[in-house]
Amino acid sequence: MNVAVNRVGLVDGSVRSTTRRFDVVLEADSVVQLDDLVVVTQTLPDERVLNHYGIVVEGSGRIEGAEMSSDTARITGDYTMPGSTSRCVTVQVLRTFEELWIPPAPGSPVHLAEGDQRAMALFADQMARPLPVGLDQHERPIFLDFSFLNGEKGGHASISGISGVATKTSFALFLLYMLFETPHGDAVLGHHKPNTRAVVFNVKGEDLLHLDRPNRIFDEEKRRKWNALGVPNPGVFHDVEFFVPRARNAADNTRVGDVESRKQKDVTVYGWTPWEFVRGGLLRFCFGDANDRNNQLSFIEQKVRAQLVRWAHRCTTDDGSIVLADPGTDFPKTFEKALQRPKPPLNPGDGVHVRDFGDIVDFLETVLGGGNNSDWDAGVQVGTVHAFLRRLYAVSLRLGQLVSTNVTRVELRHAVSVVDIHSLHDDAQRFVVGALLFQVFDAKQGTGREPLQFIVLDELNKYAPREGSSPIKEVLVDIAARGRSLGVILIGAQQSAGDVAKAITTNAAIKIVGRLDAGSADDYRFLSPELQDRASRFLPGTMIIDQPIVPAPIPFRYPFAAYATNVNEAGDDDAPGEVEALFDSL
Amino acid sequence: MTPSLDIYVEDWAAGYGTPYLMDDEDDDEPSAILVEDGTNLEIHDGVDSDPSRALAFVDGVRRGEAALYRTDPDGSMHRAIAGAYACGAVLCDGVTVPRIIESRVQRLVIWEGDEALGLPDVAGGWSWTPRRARATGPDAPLGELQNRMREAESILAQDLCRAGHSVVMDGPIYFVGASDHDVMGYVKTHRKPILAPEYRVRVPEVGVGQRTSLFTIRGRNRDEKYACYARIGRRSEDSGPWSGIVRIEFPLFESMTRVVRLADTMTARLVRYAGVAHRDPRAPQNLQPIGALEKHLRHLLGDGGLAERAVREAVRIARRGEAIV
Repeated sequence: MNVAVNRVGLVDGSVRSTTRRFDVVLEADSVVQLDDLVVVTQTLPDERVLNHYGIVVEGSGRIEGAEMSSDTARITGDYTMPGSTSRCVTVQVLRTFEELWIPPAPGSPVHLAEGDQRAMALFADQMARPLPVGLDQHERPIFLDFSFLNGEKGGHASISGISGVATKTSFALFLLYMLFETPHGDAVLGHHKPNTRAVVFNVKGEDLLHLDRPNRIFDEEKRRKWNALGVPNPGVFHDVEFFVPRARNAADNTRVGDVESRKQKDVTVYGWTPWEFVRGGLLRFCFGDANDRNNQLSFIEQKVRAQLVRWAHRCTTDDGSIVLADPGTDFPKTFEKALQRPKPPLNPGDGVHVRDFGDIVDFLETVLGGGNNSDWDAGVQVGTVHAFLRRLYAVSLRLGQLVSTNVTRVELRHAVSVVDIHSLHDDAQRFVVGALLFQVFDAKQGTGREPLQFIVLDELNKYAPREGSSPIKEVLVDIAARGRSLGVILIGAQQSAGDVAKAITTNAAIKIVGRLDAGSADDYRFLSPELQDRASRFLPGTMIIDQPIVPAPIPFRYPFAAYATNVNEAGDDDAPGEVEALFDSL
Repeated sequence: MTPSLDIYVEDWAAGYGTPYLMDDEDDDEPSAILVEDGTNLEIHDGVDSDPSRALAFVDGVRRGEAALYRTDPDGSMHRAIAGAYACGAVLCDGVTVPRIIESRVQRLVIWEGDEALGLPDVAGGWSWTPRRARATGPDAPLGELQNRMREAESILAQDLCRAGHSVVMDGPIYFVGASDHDVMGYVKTHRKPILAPEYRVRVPEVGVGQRTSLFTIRGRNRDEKYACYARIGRRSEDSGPWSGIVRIEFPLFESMTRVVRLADTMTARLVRYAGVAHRDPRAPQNLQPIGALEKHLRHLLGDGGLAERAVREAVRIARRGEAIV
């Protein structure tokens, strides 16, 4: 092990040093700032050598000899009183090696932790799968132990930070970039890498629909930081597919994506056919508002969901449409059993032919509108039936375009699948997120942990709020609880961790914090008071990582993206597209 | 007509007494001889003719930490004091932060009588150098501690002079050898009526940054020296006539011309170092560098309670038989 040579001061003997914290009085020529890593070495009476590794969490200075504020001028301005400036830093202990619960000895020399000592301070020697996730202020890498993200020892990441400072989604993308596009990703994902997948929900503008294009304002200085992370040639996401919702004004049964900044050919239009909608039981995600669970709607929704799957036959047109016909009383009543019973395809004329969401609503109005149809209304009050129908009419306007023949559901064919939901109504966003998460999670059941599937979801508080319950929240809580062993890894982001279901935030082994709202500090007890205060002043790109293996949160900066993270950044590399556009306009 | 009452309030905090201790009934003959302006006592403005000249202020503190008694088989009792003194210096050049350039600490056990018995060392760095009081009487050990501090101050002053510094000693010039040119005394308290009454009444006429004519006086060691009175702080409405007046002393071997220049310089210079009322109970006479130095030196003496505990420990060890060294 290298011996640290850069001595910065002594453990302050005028205040207590404890096993958790100690102060260091700095030497006159030392420059030590917050987040610097230091090591204190002492020899115990039994001749064992004990090292304390710590991180600087606060700095202070005073003029010794000045008892009153006005003495400052006497000492430093008038030069009539003697006084000497002392500078101190407070250090939070990260690690004691060997593991003895003994505080640093007052007066012990303190060195900057460099090289191997720094690795010891950051537990890099203990990390099974170190993945660089950022740089410290000296531009040396900070590592994340991937075995706490991939489900091996822990899973999931929770990213918190206020909006508008471009941190949460950017960091999640950076993490994906490191995994999918760099040698570091190869190292931690191993031979499962080709089959590892990530779903990223795009919630703001068409920002993430340009990840395959270079960032216009990327420059050499920014490249240098990537290089410091061990990424020699940062670039774009090479294996990415963009899914955009079917446009609301698209003609019946046509596939036109709701997108402006990309050409139709660059994107895949997603939606669900009536067959997929009914067989997937996706009706429940039409009632995704947490408030819906407080009334009787879920009873009737459950009944209707089961009835639809009982009645639905694949249509012989094979375009995803269904034909609804009464299966008779002998047919299984429950959703799961009905799903398993094989049924022959029917011709459109053999029953009610359903080609889109509107057809489903029309059909349900027929069977429910008359009232007193216990096969379909679960015996709820007429008022509830009407409320159910009203709700259906409302969502029909908001997400009806997503259920139609001739659409493709999101399939994770590429490493990264960006699913755009930004232009959708809240109800439709919840529907897409719920349906897709369920699909991903369901598909992973029984297939083993690896290859991993990452889900990047911003505004988690919208889908899994702390209070109330909804089908989507149930899926997310389920992923948080069981996804770790199934290899479904949630990278969730929210403005404030306090707004998200506790089961989700507590299950996240990796906690990332960007700039915080000064008022929300209660939810970040893992941060020291100093860090909580600092986090309210963070600039974009500065974050804190808290991971189980390192007992203190570590601030870091991650490099600026080489790929475009919004329309403005998208570089002009699309020459063939331009030519096409020229022809298109003729 | 109501007779006017000349009542004043002493500037110093009551716990520190008063710097004006002259007794009008004192029978001692005033010893001062005016030497600058013939038989007149004049008022001179201070002029700092050498602003770049740095000053080293020297002061000391001492503390009795435990009183000891020893009885002989014949029943006679010997007293001792275990204590410590520290002396040091602050260098003020007017253009950089004043700094403490020297500090020296000595811990002693001082016995009255002929025998100086030592104490064993105690863990924590406690050790005492045994010394004998040169005087006799119950107060002799403490007096000896005081004298040794003053001697140490003088030695430090001489060392600093040899190193090229101009030295201002807190207190009268004391034990100063003939070769030590650049040393001055700074006296805060006025115990004896030095000047004849007709001159003494005129001393309060000096304003801030002014001084009286120089005169010669005879010190405790019968050594002669030059001196003058100067006012270093503004007199407030409540303050007495002698408020802020100090005595500055110079060795007699200096040439008169040089002493005049030095006196003018010091009269002007010291004003800026005057103590500040709200932070020093002996302001303005207790100069800022001196006040800070005293605090620093007291700090260097260590914790008084620990010192006493160490003495008791040493005595216990000695009594157990390892004997007094």
